[in-house]
Amino acid sequence: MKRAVVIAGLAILAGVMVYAVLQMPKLGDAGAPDKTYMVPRYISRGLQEAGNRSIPNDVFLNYRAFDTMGGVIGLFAAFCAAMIVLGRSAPGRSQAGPDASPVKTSVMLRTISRVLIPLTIMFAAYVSLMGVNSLGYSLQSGTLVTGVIILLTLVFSLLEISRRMLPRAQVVLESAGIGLFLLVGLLAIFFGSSFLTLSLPGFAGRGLQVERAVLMYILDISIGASLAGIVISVIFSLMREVEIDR
Amino acid sequence: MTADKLVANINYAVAALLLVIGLYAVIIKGSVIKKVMGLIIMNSGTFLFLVGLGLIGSGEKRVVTPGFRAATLINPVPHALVLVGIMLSTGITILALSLVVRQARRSEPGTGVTNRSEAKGGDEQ
Repeated sequence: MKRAVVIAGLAILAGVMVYAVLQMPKLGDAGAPDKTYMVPRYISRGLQEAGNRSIPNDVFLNYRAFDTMGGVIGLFAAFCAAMIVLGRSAPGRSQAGPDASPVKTSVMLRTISRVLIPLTIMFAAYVSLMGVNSLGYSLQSGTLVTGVIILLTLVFSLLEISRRMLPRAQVVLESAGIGLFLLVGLLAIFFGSSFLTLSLPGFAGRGLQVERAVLMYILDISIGASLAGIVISVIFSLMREVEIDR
Repeated sequence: MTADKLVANINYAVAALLLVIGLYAVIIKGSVIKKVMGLIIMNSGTFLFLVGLGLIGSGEKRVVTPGFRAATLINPVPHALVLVGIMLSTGITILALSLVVRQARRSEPGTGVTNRSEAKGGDEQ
């Protein structure tokens, strides 16, 4: 009965949404109202003003850098709340439930992961290094690194992998996003401009291009690194079931 | 004409469908983990909708290359918004799952984080 009522309600909601979709401009319509104001300016002057060939990266890291900073701060705040609720897993002393199983992981799984993981990390580095000026974001490379660590933790044990993760490196990674954003923002103030301005006064021509590219790259890497650090720490805390006292 | 418009705007319709599926999971499913999965599905639907808004033409170009025509580049703003949204939805998922796990550890006896002293050879508290 409840299910029928819910399905009926959701069908009405879906109908309303589909009706709204039919009123919208066609997909890909260049004359739609949301594309006629700021967007032509971003596209035509993005390369000169922000210095990046990839226009979405210009918008993400330069024109709308405050939104990005807000996102990083929100992610860090959620991570802090999760750590308060769960508690950090002690490195090298935390065991997950499956670790205690006497059955060892399959040889195929271990061999394939040994082959795949270096390739994945290389791909993550490529996406991060090449992506800023091209078709990539550092966020995706952070996700790839997180996936690698999760695969390692599942195939080998949480005890082994958490032992190899340096706690200080984890802390640095977790706070990299928010820390580097604040540092770059304050650097702009130090140079006499407003917070988080990437085109610093006092640089011109080739120097300005290099400086803008370096700052944009620092911001991009920090987002990926912080996402990786945060999700890895949370995964370790979620998986931990036994703590071994030494 | 309605069918043509629906097929042309299929991205938005699928986004609406994902939202409805996610909402169904949140309301109907008993397990809290599945409710959280429903929230994640709703996030995906929202992101699909936003990214679909950014399409211009056939969406083949995103990067400025020599000799580009401005009219062929896609709208970059939804991409930036979706990336921020992905970060925040990751944060929400992290918090939701940590609360779920904490509640599960508290409510089921013997499933909390147990301390085992190695020196004593496996005593559990």
